[in-house]
Amino acid sequence: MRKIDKTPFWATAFANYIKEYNNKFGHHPVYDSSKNAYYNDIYYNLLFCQRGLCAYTEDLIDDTIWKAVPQNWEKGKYIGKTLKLDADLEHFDPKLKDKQGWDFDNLFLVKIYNNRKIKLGKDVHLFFKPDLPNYNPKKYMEYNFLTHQFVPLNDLSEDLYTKVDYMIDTLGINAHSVISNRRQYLLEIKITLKNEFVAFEIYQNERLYKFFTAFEMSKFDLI
Amino acid sequence: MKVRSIELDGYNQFKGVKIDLTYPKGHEKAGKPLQKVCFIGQSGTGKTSILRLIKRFTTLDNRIGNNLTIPDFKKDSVKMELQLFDLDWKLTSKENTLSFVYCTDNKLNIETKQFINKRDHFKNQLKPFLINFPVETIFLNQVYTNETERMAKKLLGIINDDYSEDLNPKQVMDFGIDAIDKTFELLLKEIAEHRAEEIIFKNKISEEALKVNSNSEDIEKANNKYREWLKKNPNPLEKLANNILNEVLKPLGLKVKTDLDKSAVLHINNIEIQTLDGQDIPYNFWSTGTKHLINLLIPLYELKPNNAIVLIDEPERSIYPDMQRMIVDKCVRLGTDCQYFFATHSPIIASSFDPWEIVELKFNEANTHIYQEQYYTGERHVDNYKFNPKYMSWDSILNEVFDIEGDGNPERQRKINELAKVNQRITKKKLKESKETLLKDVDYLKDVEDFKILANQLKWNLGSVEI
Repeated sequence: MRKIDKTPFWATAFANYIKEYNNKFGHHPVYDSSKNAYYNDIYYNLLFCQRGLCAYTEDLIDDTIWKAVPQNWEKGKYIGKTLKLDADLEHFDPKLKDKQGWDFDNLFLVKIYNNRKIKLGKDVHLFFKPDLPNYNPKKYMEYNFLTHQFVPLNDLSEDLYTKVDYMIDTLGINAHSVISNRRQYLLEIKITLKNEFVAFEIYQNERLYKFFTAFEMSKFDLI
Repeated sequence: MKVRSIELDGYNQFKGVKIDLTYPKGHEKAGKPLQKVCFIGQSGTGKTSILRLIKRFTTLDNRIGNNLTIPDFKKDSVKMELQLFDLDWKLTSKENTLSFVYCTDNKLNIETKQFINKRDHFKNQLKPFLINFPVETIFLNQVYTNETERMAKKLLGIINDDYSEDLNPKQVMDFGIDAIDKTFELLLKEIAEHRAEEIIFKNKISEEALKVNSNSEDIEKANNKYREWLKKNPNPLEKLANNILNEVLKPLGLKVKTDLDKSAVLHINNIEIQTLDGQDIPYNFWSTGTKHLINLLIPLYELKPNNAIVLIDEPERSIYPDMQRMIVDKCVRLGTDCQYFFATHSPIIASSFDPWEIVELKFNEANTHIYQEQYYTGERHVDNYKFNPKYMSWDSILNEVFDIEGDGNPERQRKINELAKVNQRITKKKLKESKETLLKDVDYLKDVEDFKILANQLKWNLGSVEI
């Protein structure tokens, strides 16, 4: 789970609406993904911030339209192409869903399976949030190339180790389908580096488009 | 006969489903109807309903069992394109009847009435043009009996050549409606007749031998006559056994009984099986899987379907995975120019199909309607399919085709995670410490030992491939 920069923000119509509503009622409107006029604004804004990837697993959600998102806004509303993607808006901290359900900071775009089958409103440890200014995956976990699983860093305190282990599990970072895709992608890269004599850094800069963290952490296994 | 496409919109929970049943572009048979099709999907997604609709549209018979009929249609909720030799036509549902549209671009360029005559003429040549094996296939129900008188009458009937005069091959063999044992009388008629002839020959030999003034020359003469006949008329039961049944029965420790003993005479129009060392297995002790295999393969072998549609619901039922691996190919080999439709829940069955031959039916997110999951992106071309079940491991088929998460019990995932942590500790220590230090490090050695134990428990299938 790599760091996410949420500063690119165009959904100003949504932001104004939420601000006004909050000022009036002291809380956000009820979160209902299918009935909110601003849903797509947040969805596609996040798709860009996350570079078309799932916020937690870095698996690919879309590689066709996310780059064009910045050019497709009118009066703070997204007017670009919409697709049926394998991703849901997800509340990182489920406790905020009731009264602060439209808090942009708490929302991420994640794979449908991870949202609906794995996370399912489970409690979270707030330090393990990908858009925090001081979040860095290398501080908490490492990648095991043999099994293609992320594991907590061994030298973490026992308490932190347990919490990181819990968060890896809760966010579905090691879900079987994710491991399967990650393994396939990294093995393909390994063969490419080996047979096409492509340097690790060149691949990283020019071709890599998903599973960035696993790639970086697997440098010695890949070259 | 072949089905080229099926459209379902508003029938049951189907919404906007258009199933293309032709080979995709890039295939050597592009545009021609698929030889075999496999429907997969969660229970309740309509696999069986589609098989029933195919039967309904091709036979115009709405019975799906002895007391059941297909529910009423809504107008235009089901459309089907069919093909028979040079003829193409389309049928559309019209409030419980079917409205017929024939294709104007058919090669014969003839009027509707002529077209129907031509189609029915073609259809009449095919006996059968449809074989249906629904889940509720009425099992062969042999009754082991000592009613020798009844059997003697049957034998006499065969000898007098008036054996089941009504047993003519039918255009539609539906084992959900026709009890399979009745049909077996037809299918095994040749075997029964051969057996009856054999009994007559053997009886003549015995008569010669039992004569008061019997001489070896007459006995030999009768014997030679029998052998000559046998040469000209090879035992069809042996052919059936050797060509198809014994191959599938052998892994079950069984074979077809071909001896003509008392039991075989009493069950002259039935198949008997025995253990490989010759011990008879009475029908009531056949396993469900054995019955299923025999009930499926004998009709296909004996009917020798040509240009027919064959519907097989849940071919995997009650049969062990090793048999599931071969059942699709076995069935397909038994017909010529037929179109086979299977409906299954088995990844092993699904692995016998190319991706364009699989129709996956799914509920939408709200579980309110059913749609077809597409396996290709862009143009429907052989190169644009995202996977091919024939090249995939069964667990990958479960993951990718059947959408099952995980590759085993959740406990396996926990074990792999445990192993990953141990492996990381080992790797990191190896980067920091010398070999000499590590070989004296108790914690390191324990990790090495734990790794082996965990890996053995996981059968060294650690979710990775070494390159």
